[in-house]
Amino acid sequence: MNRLVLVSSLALTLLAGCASDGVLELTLDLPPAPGGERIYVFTQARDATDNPILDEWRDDADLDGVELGTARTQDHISLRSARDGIDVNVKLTFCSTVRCSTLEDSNAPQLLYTLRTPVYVGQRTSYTLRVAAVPTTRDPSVTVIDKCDIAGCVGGELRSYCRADGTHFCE
Amino acid sequence: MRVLAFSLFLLLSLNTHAAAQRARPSEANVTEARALFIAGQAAVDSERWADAVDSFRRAYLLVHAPSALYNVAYALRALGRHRESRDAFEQLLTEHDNLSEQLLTDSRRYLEEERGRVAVLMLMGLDPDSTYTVRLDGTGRSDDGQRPLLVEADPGSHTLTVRAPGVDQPFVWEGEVTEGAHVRVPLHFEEPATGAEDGPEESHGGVLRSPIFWTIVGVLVVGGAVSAGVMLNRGDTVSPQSDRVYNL
Repeated sequence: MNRLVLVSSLALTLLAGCASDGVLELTLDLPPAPGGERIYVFTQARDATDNPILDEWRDDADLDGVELGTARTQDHISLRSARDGIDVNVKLTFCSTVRCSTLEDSNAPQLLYTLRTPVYVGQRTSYTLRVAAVPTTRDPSVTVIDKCDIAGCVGGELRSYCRADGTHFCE
Repeated sequence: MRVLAFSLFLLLSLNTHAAAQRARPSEANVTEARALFIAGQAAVDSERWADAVDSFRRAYLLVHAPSALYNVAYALRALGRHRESRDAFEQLLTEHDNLSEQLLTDSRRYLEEERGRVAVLMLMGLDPDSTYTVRLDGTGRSDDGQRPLLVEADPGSHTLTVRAPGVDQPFVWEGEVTEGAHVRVPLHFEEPATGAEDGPEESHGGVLRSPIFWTIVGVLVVGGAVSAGVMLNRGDTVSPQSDRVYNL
């Protein structure tokens, strides 16, 4: 019977590992490149719990940057998590290379954002992050996106996606 | 300009038939309702419609003034919550029988508009003798036995989950509905796969000692668990729409 217990335990472990996900569809509405410069927007996103926004994030998990055009560009990124209630830190770095890999990119202009609880397991949410113009400096200030600005779980384009009691429609 | 914001004296015009049958609100309630009404108007002015709904609704509960209920309905309409807005306008017109001419005209017009904006999901293929557990965007809807079962929805994206009695795997539908649309949703429930139970035959009851037998059992159980996990989780798992994905 020990073998039966072992097999059952393994099965339960595997079952537990099949977690549900929630997805935030993040749209980056990006400005045109000024003066025909070659500029890539390198977007990084991390669970804020373990990744302070002012830290440098170094790993191979990042997506390639998108090149800015002569008109506004949209980049669509899906942020998937199996955990409810996390904040998400997002960095947009405006580099000369697709992965900000050159020395001159080490101090490239950057915009920082924290999205408050944008992911809800079993739900699809969305947010459009609009950048008016290409920044010229690395700004350490963080723009916080409130959870009530994260669209989802209700139809229509609303000014707030929270109920009167402050809970999100996805909660 | 918005067709909202009735003056406060309207808030206190409680001489409707329905109101007359209720006990006159206390002075404290009237004072609180007045403050809530002002807060609701301020919320409307700054387009905080959800806050406005909350304030006007609480004001209405305190003094049952038709203007407060009208404003609840109007703010719900602005939020795109057309089902609730329709219901609020209906309540206003049925429970308050001496509305001003302007309020009556506007309420009737908006009620017709809101009725036309509510979409309906028509759930096809349900057994009339069974009762199903229906949830739209996580909120339970009753199965009253009507077939096809009609589920009202506001315009926009929705997730419908239907559970049949005795079937583990729910039916899940995700889709977009437009104003006033009637969308047919054919339902089908997949019966749980029955695993092959036949083990290798062996005489003298020695099968439990066979490593081959236990290998087969292990593969079946683990495979079944993974399949079940995938199936059970399908209803709660949302697929990314972009091929550019960050797993957080």
